[in-house]
Amino acid sequence: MAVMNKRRFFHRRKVCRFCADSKLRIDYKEPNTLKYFITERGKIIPRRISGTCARHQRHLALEIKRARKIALLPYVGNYEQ
Amino acid sequence: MNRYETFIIFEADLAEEDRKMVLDRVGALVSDSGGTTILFDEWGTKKLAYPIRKKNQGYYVRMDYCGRGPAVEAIERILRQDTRVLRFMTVRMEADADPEALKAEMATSAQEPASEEPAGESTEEAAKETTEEAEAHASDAAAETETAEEPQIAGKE
Repeated sequence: MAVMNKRRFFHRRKVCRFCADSKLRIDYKEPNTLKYFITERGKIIPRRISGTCARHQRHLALEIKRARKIALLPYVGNYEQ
Repeated sequence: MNRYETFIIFEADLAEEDRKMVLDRVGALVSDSGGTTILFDEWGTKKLAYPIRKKNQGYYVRMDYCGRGPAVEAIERILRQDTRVLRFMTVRMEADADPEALKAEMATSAQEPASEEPAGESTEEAAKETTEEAEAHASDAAAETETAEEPQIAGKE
């Protein structure tokens, strides 16, 4: 029972941001939107952390990789940032 | 006919005439193969997220056009051979696009160029709003699950 209580404390339902707002586009030309979904080191944040749905996460990963290719986002971020 | 988008990153210190020459050549390739160039969107000099060929800055040009696969191959061949081009990337935006319809669309949006910038700002605001909303939803949902779990626990005990 103690475990259950503990779990309830940490439970927080995450909502996919792109499902919540259809105006928010996933586009490699908008690195500022994509920046929310990468770590300071430049890694793509897993959906278990960000709460993005599977469909949007796939799309997001593709667009982040495109943005990396044309140097809008880093492959390896600067950890001093 | 597909709609493609090609990003070209030139060296930042390249003269404008040299850039024009490359872009004209690429544009000619599109029209020669029966495609249509929709626009050249010059982003200007930007800082690169990581150095490419020891350069920290690049001049970004986005090219939007309709064409077929061989046209893209020809364009990429030229860009690959040009040492002044730091990087390029082509993305297919739309399969089986109709260039005439796109041109008409561009003409209508060009009539109100001022609407573009406020639109960008509003999306940013919208993004902030959604995070707030999402958080509100999350806390609501958390509250709901809490109340829902209560009787279960009581039942088990």
